[in-house]
Amino acid sequence: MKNLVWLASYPKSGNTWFRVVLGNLLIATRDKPLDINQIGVGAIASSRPLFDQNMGIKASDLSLNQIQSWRVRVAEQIAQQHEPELFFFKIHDHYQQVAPGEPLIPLDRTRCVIYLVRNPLDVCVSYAHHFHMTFEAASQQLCNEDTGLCAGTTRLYNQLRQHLSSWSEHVRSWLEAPDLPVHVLRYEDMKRSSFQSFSKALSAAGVAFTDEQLYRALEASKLERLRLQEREAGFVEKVRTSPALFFRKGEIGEGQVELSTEQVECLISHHGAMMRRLGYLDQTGRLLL
Amino acid sequence: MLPAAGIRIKQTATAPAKRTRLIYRAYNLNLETWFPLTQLPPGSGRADVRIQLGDIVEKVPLTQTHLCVRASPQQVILAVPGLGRFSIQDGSQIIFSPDVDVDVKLVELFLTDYALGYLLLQREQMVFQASALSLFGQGLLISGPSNSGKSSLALGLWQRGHRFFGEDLAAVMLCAGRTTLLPGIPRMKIWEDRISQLNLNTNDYHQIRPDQARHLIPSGDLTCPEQVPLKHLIYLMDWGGDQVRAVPMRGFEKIHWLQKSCFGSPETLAAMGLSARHFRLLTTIAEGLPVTKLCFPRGEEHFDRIQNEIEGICRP
Repeated sequence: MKNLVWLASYPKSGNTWFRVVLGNLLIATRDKPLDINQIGVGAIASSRPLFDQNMGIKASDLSLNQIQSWRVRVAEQIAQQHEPELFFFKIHDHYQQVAPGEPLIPLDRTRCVIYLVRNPLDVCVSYAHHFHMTFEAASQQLCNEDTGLCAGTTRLYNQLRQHLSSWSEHVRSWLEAPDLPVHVLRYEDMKRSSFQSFSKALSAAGVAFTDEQLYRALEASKLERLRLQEREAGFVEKVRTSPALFFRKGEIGEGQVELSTEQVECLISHHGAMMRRLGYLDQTGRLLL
Repeated sequence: MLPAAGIRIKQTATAPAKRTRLIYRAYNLNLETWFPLTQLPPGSGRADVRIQLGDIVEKVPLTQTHLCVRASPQQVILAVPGLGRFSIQDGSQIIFSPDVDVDVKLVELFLTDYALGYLLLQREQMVFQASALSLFGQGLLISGPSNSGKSSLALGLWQRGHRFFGEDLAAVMLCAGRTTLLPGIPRMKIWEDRISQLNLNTNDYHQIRPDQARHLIPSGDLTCPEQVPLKHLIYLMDWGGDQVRAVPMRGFEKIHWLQKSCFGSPETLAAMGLSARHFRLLTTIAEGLPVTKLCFPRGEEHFDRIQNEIEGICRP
């Protein structure tokens, strides 16, 4: 049965916000909005505890290649456990084959992929704050096809190793993946036309909801509310070393303001073609949105 | 049964050329093996458990409880990717069927950290997934989710002079109302990051896998420590705050955190036919054992503070 919904994105593209809305839609009650530290909807596909629980052998006792190739089996097992309910997997990995003929995610279990994408200039600013690095370092990571998360070999993290690649290669890998039903959701549309964009994505995923329920979930998931919760109780998904809030600004166009001209040009020169394809640049190279 | 001469396992320099009966001691059991277990203290006398090479036969239909584990009341089969399969039978026998050219050190690791765990469950022992130490003569279990710092804290406490009883698997015996911690495997598996922080040299320790910098650190001279009364269980939990907070658990909360600390998932215990007995033992242990949830800020820089707190909790 195809009951897996993949929320795929480059980091800092609205994935957590989408999951908070889902949580407020599916779990929270009218009286009690969702606790951001217990989103309770699905899991991140790279979760080390999830891997350990399902394998019966800890990831720390396996080789990196074994971990990578067994992640797809773990996803299959979780799909089976949750039948007939939908299960939502957040995923930041670049879409690739983990072994010859073996895709990163189990296609025969996949109902759809919601690919969340955001202007890479804004991603760059948010990425820099999130990982506590300079804009320069963040822009280099967004342009580097070797970029990964939790990729060191001197320890394991709470998440397993993930290969991100560069921003545009990440987008291309998901949008051009064969045999994968992908629904593209732009962060900018989530912000500006929240009801319509969430409604389409949720319908593509097969989530049943009423207009009233979605309006209420969106209201409960407003960034100001999430920020308030984070200030009061912290947020478990925040990178420990970063002084910035996880739910920081979430603004559209921040990259144009914060990044230097050289950094903007560098990002556009690397990602221009994909930015045009997604409506972030016009044919003359002018920034849109 | 395969003859020892047919073993296609990478032999270490210390491995015997022909089959020799070797006896080791762990969890108050004598383990008889055909190959050296370099991390275990030697034992003597009659074998309680025989560890052999051989073909694995499913005695009865098994229930798949995890991707790598299938179980029944008589037998558990653990299939380790790239290594082979262990059949753990009747609390007295472990049969290993290797894949071609496996590393004997890895076989030892899965044997001691997983196969023995299921064997102890078959012997109706309580088994925890925790680091075990003796502080001031009192048994302590440090439990918590992956990446919570169990091993690193155990290493730090051992460096402070406390007795190390084992990592990953801790067996507890309940006899005449007393809960006793049994001595396990005297070695730790520590990541390179943590070894460097403690000013130890990684070159001095065996690296478990070539692609991951995790090392085996022996915790002493392989003399088997005496069992001690189990007096505390500490469940580690990182949180967003700046303080180290020790929260004593009460009533059903204690059972909840003890259960989360157990080796063997509820699914596997059910397939082994042990659920009811296991829960009874757990509730009995919970009656007399203080359980503390230790919340602390994330990051190795806080380990000294956490170790102080743990010593404070355990000091009589």
